[in-house]
Amino acid sequence: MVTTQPLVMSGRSRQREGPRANRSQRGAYVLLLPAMVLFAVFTFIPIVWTIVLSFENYNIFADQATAAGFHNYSALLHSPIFYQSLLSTAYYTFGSVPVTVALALFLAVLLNRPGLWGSNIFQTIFFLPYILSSVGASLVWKWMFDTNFGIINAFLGFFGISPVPWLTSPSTAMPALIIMTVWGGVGFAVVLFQAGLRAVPTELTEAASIDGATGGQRFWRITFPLLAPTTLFVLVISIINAAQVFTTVQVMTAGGPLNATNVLVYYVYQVAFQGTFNLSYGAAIAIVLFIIILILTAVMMIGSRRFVYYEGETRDAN
Amino acid sequence: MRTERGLGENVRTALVYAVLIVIAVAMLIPFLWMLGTAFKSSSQVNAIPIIWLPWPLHFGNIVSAWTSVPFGRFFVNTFVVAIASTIGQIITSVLAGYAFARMRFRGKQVLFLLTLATLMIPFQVILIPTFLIIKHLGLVNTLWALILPNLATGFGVFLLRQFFLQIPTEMEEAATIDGAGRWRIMAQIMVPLARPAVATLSVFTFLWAWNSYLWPLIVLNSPTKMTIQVGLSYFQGAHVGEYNVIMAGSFLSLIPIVILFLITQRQLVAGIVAGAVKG
Repeated sequence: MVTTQPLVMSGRSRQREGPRANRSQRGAYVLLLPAMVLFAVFTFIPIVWTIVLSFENYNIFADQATAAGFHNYSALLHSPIFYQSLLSTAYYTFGSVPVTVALALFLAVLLNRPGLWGSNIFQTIFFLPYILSSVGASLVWKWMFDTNFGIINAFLGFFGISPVPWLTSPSTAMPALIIMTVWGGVGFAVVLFQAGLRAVPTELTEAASIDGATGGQRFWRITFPLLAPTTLFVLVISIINAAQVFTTVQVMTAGGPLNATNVLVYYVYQVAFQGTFNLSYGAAIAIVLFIIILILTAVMMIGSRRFVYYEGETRDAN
Repeated sequence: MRTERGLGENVRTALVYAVLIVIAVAMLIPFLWMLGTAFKSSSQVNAIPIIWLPWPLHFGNIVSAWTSVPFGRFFVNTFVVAIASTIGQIITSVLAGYAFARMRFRGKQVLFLLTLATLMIPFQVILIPTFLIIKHLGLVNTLWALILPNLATGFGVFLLRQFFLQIPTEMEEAATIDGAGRWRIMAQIMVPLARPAVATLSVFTFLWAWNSYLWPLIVLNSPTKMTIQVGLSYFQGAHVGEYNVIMAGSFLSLIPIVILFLITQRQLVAGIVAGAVKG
């Protein structure tokens, strides 16, 4: 089969040199047209327009724009709320992602135990919050974190801890959001880690165990390095998702108290669609968010070349 | 020696179960707390000490949730958006995915790179101009505003392309020899073979439509046009502090998606492994 395929291909391409070739080409454009038109209108025009808007002063009510140069960006750099929202986004992202990923890896390894009965049921339970984490789940957590009647303070009360004003105090609002996010995101990462673990060849761990390696050694010396591409992928996706959080923040804290949870996307929403309708300023924040996401992705990808082992790759001697 | 190791294994297995069960219960507590609250009367909600399981069950909250805002309307609107987006994405992804996987044409690489580039641009970043486009089209506060931007995604096209690439070419060649044209090959051979990818794409598009919040929050303003997440948010704004009623509404909003999840868990898992990103 491997040898006949190129022959068949070349036979077909020879045939294509006639008028048929043109026909099949035009056919391809027809097939691509709907998707490409939609990408142009709803992705590429908007991204260019976001950049343009960020250098304008656009009035949505008059539908008029005047050139503004770097005015929106310099206004950002002088806005304490902008720095606060950068910090909040970083706090939220780096508070939730490492915990989520570590917990998910731990759970996936447990579920991967040979002969474990009911691993499907556990996977379903861990995965369920991911599917449901939108407004409904955020409202449930808002109620759980209620200072006076919430279940979390009731639980802490068993240990003699006095009620924590979770969502109404600037110092505890973000930890509350992070707890909710770990709950909602862990199942997604478990699924990816389980797929990654299934791809780790069992011969290696078996051989190591014959050589007397302990469970911990087998995991840290064999499984974990082989899992590095999966771990990196999970990290990249989780960080990108966390940097774009909105629903949880809007429902549980509305960016408060005192902007303690005012993350970048919420800030965009606030300036562009609430009160002042300053769309140009919102566009400038959006561009900053985009640049941050691109940089994070690039850093991760470069990191993957240096530190991640991919199967089939020959490793240079250090 | 052997029994000792066996015993150690048993203890370890028991430990694994214990840890898994504790975490699983912790993961389920929010749902149990929601259900418990949804069936409490107003005096039971704020009772101290906390009433964990209300008895008798109080069904009034579900009724008042359903009647105080047009919840039924929210469901219908969400289904319309979800189904229209799903059908649209299947069509655009099958067509484009097939062209990328099986046809040769000028500019193929550029167009494919553009398709992948759409995956790098988060919706939150292009939110503002997308709103302006919808406004200029006169579609603010219509369900079209939710459907149109979601009719094609880079994820869908990429997923179908990858799937088509895995299908051996022999079948199409046989069909070509039998005189079948491109369209017939695509409709009668490729699409039926791509059913697993189409199923994955459908489940994800549906889920996205059900859970999306930021975009509908911006483009919809009248309750009769609202989808479930915005509707739920609007609903809770009308019942601030009445957590039994709010939990009843949350419970209603979760029922359809839990059912969908239990039926389609396999496709969801497959889609995530294939690189799906939550919208």
